[in-house]
Amino acid sequence: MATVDIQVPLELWDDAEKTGSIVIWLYKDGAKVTEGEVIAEMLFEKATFELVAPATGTLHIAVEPEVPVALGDSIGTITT
Amino acid sequence: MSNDQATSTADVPASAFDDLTQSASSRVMTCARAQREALEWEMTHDKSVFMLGEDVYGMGGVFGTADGLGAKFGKERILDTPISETGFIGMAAGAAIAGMRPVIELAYVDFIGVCYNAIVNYAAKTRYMSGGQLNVPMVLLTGTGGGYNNAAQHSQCLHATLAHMPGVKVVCPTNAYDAKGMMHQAIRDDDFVVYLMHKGAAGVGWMGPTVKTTLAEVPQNDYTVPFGKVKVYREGTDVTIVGVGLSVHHALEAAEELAKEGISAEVVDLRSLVPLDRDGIMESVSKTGRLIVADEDYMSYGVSGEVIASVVERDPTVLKAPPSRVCVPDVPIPYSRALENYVLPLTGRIADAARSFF
Repeated sequence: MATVDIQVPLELWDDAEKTGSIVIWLYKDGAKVTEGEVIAEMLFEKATFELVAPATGTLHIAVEPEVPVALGDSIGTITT
Repeated sequence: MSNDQATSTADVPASAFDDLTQSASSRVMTCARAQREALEWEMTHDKSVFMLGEDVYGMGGVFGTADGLGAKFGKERILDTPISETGFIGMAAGAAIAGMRPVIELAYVDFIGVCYNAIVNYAAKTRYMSGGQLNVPMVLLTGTGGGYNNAAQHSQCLHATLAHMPGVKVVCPTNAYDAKGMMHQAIRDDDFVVYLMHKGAAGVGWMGPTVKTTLAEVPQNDYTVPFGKVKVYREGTDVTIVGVGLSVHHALEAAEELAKEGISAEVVDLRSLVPLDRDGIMESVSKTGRLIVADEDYMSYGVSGEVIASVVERDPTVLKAPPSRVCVPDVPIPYSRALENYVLPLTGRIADAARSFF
């Protein structure tokens, strides 16, 4: 059992001063997810980005859609 | 027209719309992502499928339908075009006649005017004019609708204008499950299909918060949703609300409000304008006896009138009251948000139309 942080990747968008948000989690809290698959969509200005699972395990969602988040923010965890 | 390529016809479980109840590892998707997944599958499995349009290679198109596909399939199969809808739709029709399966991204349906000759006279008529010797297996994917202050030239639906023409199939999925299955169906179809996605139902961030009822569980595998069958989103006994595109979701909200007042509304999604499931419409209205059509297109000479005609031509005696149309009055879509909301067929107007029956 290990816990892996799900962070907004630092390179997801260009301007580190600005915030984006989660559009949708593709899986529910507690779902099993696989490393490398898309688990959420994120919005920055007008563009949508995909967020992939950093590990295989159980998803725990910490930040709901439509809440402003910055690059590097932790938005959930995966317990392996 | 052939419509016999369905490999599976499973319908999405009702639970997918209620509260997104998911089995442990199923996925919920937006319409935009679901249609992309179908396109990617078809391009992987059929070398004759290619995509063309403005900003599709690098940017993935305005709805992200081609996100990542440029890198995967290259510039030969994800073709960036100049801003000339006339040129690239004509080119696609030619490619389709020659045996390719083009998927055209025409960002907004409002731009369709300049390509009408290619659509009306080539894409829609070649099969007929050639005595069935030439097919036009082409998909025109385009965004419709308003609700985001983009004014009169970027907010229209215009689906009746397309559905009016013989030789064109016109579909308008409203949830992610249908979006994927109908995209598979459209690409595999040997005839010209116009695939309309209301911008507000697509689930693209720039349209604002995602409409929850557009989200659905989407299987990983390929599947088709055949054209020409309505979907009953919500069953009811007092009034049928037939919707097209995003109006289906406003109708669902209206049905929720009406339920609190003791009015039981059935919400029927047309899903496909051509072919039109007149039997499915009739079945619902025969049960409820009252009909509202919620349609974001202009009211006069539109789909709303066609739906009503489908009922009264068969049996007007099923109606307990004159049917009602909740549409855009015959005016351009205003830029001002207040005025735009006034003309759009939003939840309040739909609910009021239902209340006026009782």
